[in-house]
Amino acid sequence: MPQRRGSVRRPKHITTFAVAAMSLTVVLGLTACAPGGSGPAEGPSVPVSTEVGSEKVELTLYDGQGLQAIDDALIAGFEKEFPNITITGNYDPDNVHAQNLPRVLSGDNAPDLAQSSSIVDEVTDGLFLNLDEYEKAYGWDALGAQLTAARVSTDLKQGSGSLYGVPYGFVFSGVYYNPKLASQIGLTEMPATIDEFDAALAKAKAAGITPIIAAGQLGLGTAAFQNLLDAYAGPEAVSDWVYRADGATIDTPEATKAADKLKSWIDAGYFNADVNSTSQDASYSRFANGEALFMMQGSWANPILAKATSADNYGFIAPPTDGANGTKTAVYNSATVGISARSKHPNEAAAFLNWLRSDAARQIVLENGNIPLSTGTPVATEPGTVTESLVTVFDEVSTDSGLVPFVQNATSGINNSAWVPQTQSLFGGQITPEQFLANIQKAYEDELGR
Amino acid sequence: MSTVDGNASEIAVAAVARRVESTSTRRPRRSVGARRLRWAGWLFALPAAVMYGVFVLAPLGSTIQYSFYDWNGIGRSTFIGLDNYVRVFTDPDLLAAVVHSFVFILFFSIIPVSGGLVTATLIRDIRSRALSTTARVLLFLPQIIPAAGAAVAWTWIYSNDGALNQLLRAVGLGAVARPWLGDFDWALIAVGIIGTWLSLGLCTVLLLAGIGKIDTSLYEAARLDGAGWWRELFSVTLPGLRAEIGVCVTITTIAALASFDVVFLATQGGPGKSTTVPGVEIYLLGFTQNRVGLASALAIVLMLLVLLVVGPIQRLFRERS
Amino acid sequence: MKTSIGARIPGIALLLAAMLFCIFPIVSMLSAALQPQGTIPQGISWPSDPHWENFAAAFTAVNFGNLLGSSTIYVLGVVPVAVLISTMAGYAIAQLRIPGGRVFYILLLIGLTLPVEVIVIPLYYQLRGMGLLDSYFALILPLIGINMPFAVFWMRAHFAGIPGELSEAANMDGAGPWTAFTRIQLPLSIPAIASLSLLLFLSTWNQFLLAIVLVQDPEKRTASVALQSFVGKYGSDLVLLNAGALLIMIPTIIIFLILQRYFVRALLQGSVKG
Repeated sequence: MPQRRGSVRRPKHITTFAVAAMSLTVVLGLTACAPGGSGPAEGPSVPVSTEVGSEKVELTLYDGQGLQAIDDALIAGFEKEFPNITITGNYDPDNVHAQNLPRVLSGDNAPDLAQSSSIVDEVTDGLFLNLDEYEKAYGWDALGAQLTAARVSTDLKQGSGSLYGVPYGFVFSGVYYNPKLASQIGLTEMPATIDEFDAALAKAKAAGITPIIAAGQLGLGTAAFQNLLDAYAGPEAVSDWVYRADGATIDTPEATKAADKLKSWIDAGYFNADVNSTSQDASYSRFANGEALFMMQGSWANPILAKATSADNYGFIAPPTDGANGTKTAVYNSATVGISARSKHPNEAAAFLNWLRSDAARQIVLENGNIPLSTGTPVATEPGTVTESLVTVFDEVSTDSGLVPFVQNATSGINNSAWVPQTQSLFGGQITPEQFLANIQKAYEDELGR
Repeated sequence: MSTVDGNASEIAVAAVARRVESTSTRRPRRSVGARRLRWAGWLFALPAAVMYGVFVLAPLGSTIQYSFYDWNGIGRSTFIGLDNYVRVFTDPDLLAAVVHSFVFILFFSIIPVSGGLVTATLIRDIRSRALSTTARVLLFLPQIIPAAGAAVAWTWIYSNDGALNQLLRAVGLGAVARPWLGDFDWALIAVGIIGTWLSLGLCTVLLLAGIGKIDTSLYEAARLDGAGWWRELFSVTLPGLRAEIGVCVTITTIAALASFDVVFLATQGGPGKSTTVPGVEIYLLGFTQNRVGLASALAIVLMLLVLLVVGPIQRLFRERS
Repeated sequence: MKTSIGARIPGIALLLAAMLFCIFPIVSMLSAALQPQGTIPQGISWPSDPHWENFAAAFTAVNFGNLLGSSTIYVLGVVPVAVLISTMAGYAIAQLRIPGGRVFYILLLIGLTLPVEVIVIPLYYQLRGMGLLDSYFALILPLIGINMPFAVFWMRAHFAGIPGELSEAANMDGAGPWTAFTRIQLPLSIPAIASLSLLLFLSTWNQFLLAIVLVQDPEKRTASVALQSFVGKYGSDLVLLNAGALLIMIPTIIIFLILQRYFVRALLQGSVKG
């Protein structure tokens, strides 16, 4: 008996495992059909109209927390003029918003309105409504080039073609400076060219002041690189790369010059020593506390700095140019709001987009640190404020056709897969400028399946 | 670190229980008349089976399936066979992630188990009840805290103005001070130490339980032989704790290989990719880079890795006991 | 135990060092949390005038009341159901010896070592398909499923230790399995059930990965995720950030301190039986 039990036991064990394995296989079989699959974008489900009537309609809007203040103010202003329409804003941390957006838009409870900085992806997956008919009905074409980033062509390239959103304004990036530290090192005039900038950095370093504070924790050292890249390579070449033009590459002599320059700044100790562990928020408060001469940051930092310090403690200038005759450039992004392809109330959602052109909306946008749409009528700015310098710089750069989209927005994944780790590696001395560019280009082609 | 916190404790208990029950006596055979009753017994097991099948096995099946496709999670998918797996084993970033998770075994498992052994013996020798209770509570505290809280605490300690640099400067080692989590050479070790902090108390408490079961006469005999602290540790305590040590090593190793929370919250895998682990890469690939197929393949590799490492550990510590 | 005081001093010093290592991060947070708001704290320093009111400010900033509410909903949704159905399943496997029980059991054992990262992506699509992503069920249902391997394992081990004669005696008295379960087995299982509940409470409360992926409504998130978005929102204010992080830890710490004996007992239960 004990012998028999011993001999039976082993096979039984095997059988049990076999049955377990088979059950797993059955479960797998049940799920076996190709995942995914959604159709291309279509027009709105209801007849296009600029009339919104008086029936009660509830819309939802999905955005990142960084724009919550501005969105809430815009919604309140809109609801005042259209009392029958209520809009509920849903917000996520900015990085979560960017990641979740395609999934949120493809879900059953998709928001009617959503802000996106990578509309090509939404259009490719058929998530945003084609707004060509609304453009005609409302006459949005009067906004001209301001709609460029909101257009996607039939071969899915950004920058031309059908309209998929309306920007409520622009954010752009430049250089904040500390006037007290500047006068301390005898800097009477702010640097305009890269050479003058170089000299200023060296002076600050010699005086024991951190020349530039950068937040590398989430890869924001990219800002310093792109400012140099735009200056050397010119706005058009960089825009082509971001808009995924055929054969576009960032591995060029001009880009190498930019990366070499950045590397020389890093090696000279021009950045805060803990750049790779500095968060964006920490960099704001440390700049406001007078730790560094410069901070390359966006217009969105202005309201935060205004709260953290007094207005005479900081100023704003355009990024340096390549020589005195170089094009004035700046990295910009339009906060483009699109309408979900699943929205049941596209007419009401379009009314909100149209309202963004109103003076009231534009004033709200400005007060919240964004540059409003230009419609011919100027918005009121208080003279002598940093806000006024922001508007002036933006006007100068756009007159020079120097606005360039963020390189991080080239594909939805490239910031996390390439810009963050690669800039950190460059700042940490782990890679050469050549490797830096080659790695970025490799990730770019990989993401685009080229 | 999905399995640290509550989950780690759970697996710990489970592993101890598994060992215990393998030694329990077999039940006598039952009458044939009970067979119908046995089938009816499935009514009891059914709810658990359904929940497990729907929310664990079915997704596991989907992960295996996705791993053979090129899919962005929204649009159409293309069957690409084993390409995703080839990529997992050739992409330097993903390979680095796997290597880091093995480095974490040192910090999450080996150091805490050795340290836990020492602290457990020390607590056992303490006469003051108050001190031993306080020690147990304090050592176990890290297990209770949500990983997000632990990350806030340690990010602050490791920062330029944080307590660690303050301490170094105070003892004249200011030259060594640095932003620890932003340093390519130190970030992995710094994150590893957070893992040590999380696991130390768990190991101590588990080993303490094992020590309590060792026959005190063995210690007395050792003392009569004139054995010192070290001899006692190696001839009495270690052999008596074989099973408990096995449990500690198992759960902390799983925690190391499957780490996510603390790494994601403290460094997001940076600077560069110097602290990234498979868990973080799965999340980034699947949810920020829209590469669901590749993320799934990495997930399956992670699962096999855990089974491959944990299996031998289980056998090693179970035999001869 | 006969070692002299002199010989024990290094040991006690070592133990104190280990305790210090464990409590150090909490002390460092508390020191930062009590500094005046708006300042940049430097290392650990006890403020001459501790600003306890920072916790009140953090209470509002993290929306703590709301957070407690949603976390409680998850715990109440997960723990009782998971405990009940795993107790029933453990009873079925160990005492009723259901046919195929071993297969079921081995399938569960596989789940015990399965990293949750492995299934998080399909879970997302599955729950979206069920239309649950915006509800509390998006987290409650998967957590019940994911806890099954451990919970059934735990309860099965418990029921395996109860003599089979008990149920057989009940059968002879004419009681069905349900009556035997509720009248005889459950009352005997209270300690095992209590410790299981405590462990499930902890893992639910501290859940992070599933919560960031599956719960999109910020109002419905767990404490861990709330803390993460708090970091995103108030990252520049180290004082408020540390106060908020401590605040979010307080419920589990309080529960742990009250129940620490049971927690430790829960962990030791398996060994005690051996």
